[in-house]
Amino acid sequence: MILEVHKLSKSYGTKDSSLNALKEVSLQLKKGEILGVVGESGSGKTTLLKLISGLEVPDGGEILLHEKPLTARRSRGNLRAMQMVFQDPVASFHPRRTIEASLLEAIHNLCGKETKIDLEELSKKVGLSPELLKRRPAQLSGGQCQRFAIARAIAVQPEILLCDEITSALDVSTQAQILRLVFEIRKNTGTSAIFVSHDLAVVSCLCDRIMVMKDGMVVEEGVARQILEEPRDEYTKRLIESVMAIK
Amino acid sequence: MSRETILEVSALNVGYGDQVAVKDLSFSLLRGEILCLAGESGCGKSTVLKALLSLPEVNRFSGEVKLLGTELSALRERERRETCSEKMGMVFQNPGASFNPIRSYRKQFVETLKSHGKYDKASFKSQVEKAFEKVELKDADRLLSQCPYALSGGMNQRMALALAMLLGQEILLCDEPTSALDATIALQVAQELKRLRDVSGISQIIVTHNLAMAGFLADRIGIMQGGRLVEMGDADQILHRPQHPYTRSLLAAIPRLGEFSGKEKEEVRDDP
Repeated sequence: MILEVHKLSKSYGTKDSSLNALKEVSLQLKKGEILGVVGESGSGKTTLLKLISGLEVPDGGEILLHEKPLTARRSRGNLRAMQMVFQDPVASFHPRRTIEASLLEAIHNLCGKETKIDLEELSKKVGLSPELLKRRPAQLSGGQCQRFAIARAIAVQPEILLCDEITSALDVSTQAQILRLVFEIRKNTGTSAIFVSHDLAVVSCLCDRIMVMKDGMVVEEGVARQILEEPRDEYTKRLIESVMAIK
Repeated sequence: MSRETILEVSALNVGYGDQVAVKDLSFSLLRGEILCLAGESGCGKSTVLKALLSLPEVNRFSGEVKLLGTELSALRERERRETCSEKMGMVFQNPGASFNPIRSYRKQFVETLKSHGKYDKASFKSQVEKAFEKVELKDADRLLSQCPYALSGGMNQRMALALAMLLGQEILLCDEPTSALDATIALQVAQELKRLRDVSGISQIIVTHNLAMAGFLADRIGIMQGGRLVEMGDADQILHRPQHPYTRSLLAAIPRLGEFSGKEKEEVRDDP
């Protein structure tokens, strides 16, 4: 078990009006496993990733990496272990710097200034020409930017990729390429991933296990095939029916 | 098919500034038909809708748009705007953003009807109730007193449809009407759009990047790429017997529910 999450809770807002975004959510992730998290807007998917990545501090619960609990202040090694990729690829980079500068900054921050890294090799790994490194995010397409965002994440050799709706802003053909890339990375390096998406079809193509969330809670969890073919929870059934009706 | 053609577009070239965004577009829309224009970002599908509405930011370089037999460019600007807004309604991707978020629906409905010269105080309530019924909205009084920010995306989208019906428009132009909605809500809105056609006979041109949604909604589908219509035909033909290689590649890229890449997965799981 590479990652364990126990009864994670988080609420936002003031004392008078607060929203329980996450209510005692638990999960486990094995090495090399891709866990899909589906649910509608406001179900707590993004909050879950933010807590795991350390971008936000939980109100309650525990996160264990290799069976050691993570504290609010994380060591560089622990930060490196989990890398997040966001929904908006263009906004993931400094708008006025070259991609190269942004990549180097992230790598130096996490691995130390003296780190040498072959950016050309890295670009090729995500299927991009190294010439594109000299461009700024606005000079790239959404798909190219998302590939660089994934490159930034895998450059520090993380153990877990945290993907938050990483294909939602992309066209179908670009989406297919990005999904293939995530799959390849797992195959070649054994990197685990938590893949959050509102799109059940996308999740079902990529993930080994699926977790369905609603209103900040996990309503169902299991092997991908079982969730799709024999859903037990009413909400999961409704979600699958809605997708099937349109397909 | 002997139904009346209500909109006819021929050899239309439109764009922004002197840049052409839609090239040599021709198609026609029949009364009561749902036509979907599908394609990826930047293919010009939204520009087509803007051009049909004669929005000022879109330049028409050449070609014809005939609405109920009238060539739009032959009309004076004011007349053209009136004709367009009388006959055609628009539903946008973000349902909340089509309305003022902090103004009650009642005020916005009345305002819009008045500006179209369709407001009648005496019959307003019964008209609204009738329209609401068609999109399965209940409790008209309560909903009208609400502001858009307080309603869900799906509810707001249905309010937009109800308003379009009240205006008595003949063509509804929808720009990604379900893309901002969750799967369960998207299905509801898609069903409302179909019902709206069945009950009121309103023709629709729906722009979407979601081919599955196009297949669910449309009688005919047009596929656009780089500003051109590369293929158009019955929904069934486009989805099951596509002719153009681009259509085929689009269809192949759609992730399908339950299509596991199982074999490769097993390999990975066996790794220590």
